[in-house]
Amino acid sequence: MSDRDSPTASQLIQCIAQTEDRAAFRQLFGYFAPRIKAYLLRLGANAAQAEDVAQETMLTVWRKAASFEPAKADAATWIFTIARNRRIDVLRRERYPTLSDEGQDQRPDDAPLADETIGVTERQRLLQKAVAALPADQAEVVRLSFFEDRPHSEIERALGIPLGTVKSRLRLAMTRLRKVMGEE
Amino acid sequence: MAMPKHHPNDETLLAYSSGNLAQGFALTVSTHLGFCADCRHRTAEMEQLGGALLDELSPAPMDDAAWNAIAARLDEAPTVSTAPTVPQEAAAWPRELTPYLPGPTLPWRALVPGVRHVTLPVGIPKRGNVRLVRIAPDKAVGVHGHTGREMTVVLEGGFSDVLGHYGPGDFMELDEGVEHEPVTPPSSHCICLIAVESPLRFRGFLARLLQPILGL
Repeated sequence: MSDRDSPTASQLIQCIAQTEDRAAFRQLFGYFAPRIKAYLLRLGANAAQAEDVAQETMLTVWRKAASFEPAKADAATWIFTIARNRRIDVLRRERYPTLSDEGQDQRPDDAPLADETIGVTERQRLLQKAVAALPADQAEVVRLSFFEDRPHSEIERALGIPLGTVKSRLRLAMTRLRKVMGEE
Repeated sequence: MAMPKHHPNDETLLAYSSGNLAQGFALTVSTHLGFCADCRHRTAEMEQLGGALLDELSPAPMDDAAWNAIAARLDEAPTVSTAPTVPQEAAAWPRELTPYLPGPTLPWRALVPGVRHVTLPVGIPKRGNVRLVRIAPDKAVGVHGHTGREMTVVLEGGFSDVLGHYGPGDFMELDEGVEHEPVTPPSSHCICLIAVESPLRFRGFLARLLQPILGL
């Protein structure tokens, strides 16, 4: 969320966690539900399925707000992972194998992402800039990875380029993006 | 715990992070993540990329009734799922894996002498299967090729093949056409989680004859 004077998405989620703040939830819903719907439509869902997953995702956000850790992930990332999992629940009727949320604190070896002096929200902005600055061919395979429900071998066919090229473009893109995220 | 030395590559982690892997393959990756802080970190970065891409999508307007519909559900009590009983022998395995085990005991079945297996109720395309495989010490599994993708993660013990030694948490992805012959060490058994997209192809007349019977 970009308007600097209004509360950030991360703050809204914390309000929901602390006081079940419906006004905060309504604001969050207004911003993210249409984006989750767009995400589903990009992945080939029909309008009814896309609405359904957007609703289910936002309901999970409401219920699990207390498990959101603002120091670890920004709001969009947290909501993205919920939408990803919900999509598979609803469309494939399968539970997507994810990292277990129980006892994450028993994994003290997990360093926070990159430089703590930059906030997660700021890093997200840098990352968006970096994606925008990727060479067109690399940005395309990155976007297709997230927005096409098919393996890279089929992306190869869609783009008419060899699989090896898809893979090397992905690797180049990840190397560039990791630099922004403060690694390598 | 020693950190794993063999990891999923970027394409596989990206496919996992974007929700693009079949359930069985995703389970081998999430199980590896249970062992590997480095790959948890890499996955978190890729999910962050997913968040950035979601955030910049052009919104698709929701139905007019959408807010009222969700507002009416906010007081609903969520259905609480009870955690399944973890088989005793699986107590030390990553908790990413244990919810997908078939029950409180593992129904091991003999496959060939020295090899036992349990099929997990997990989705995989192209008549493939997702199994726990337990191999006795000092056992060569036989040269086999792959007709589809295979992903393996070691849970206990380990094995060696031409690509090196694989211990707990190590992840191996083999593509179509690759042949290898895993061998377990003399002193310890090996338990792996293996997801294969389509049946393995063993070399040798007898093995091929037995293959349909063994269900490999």
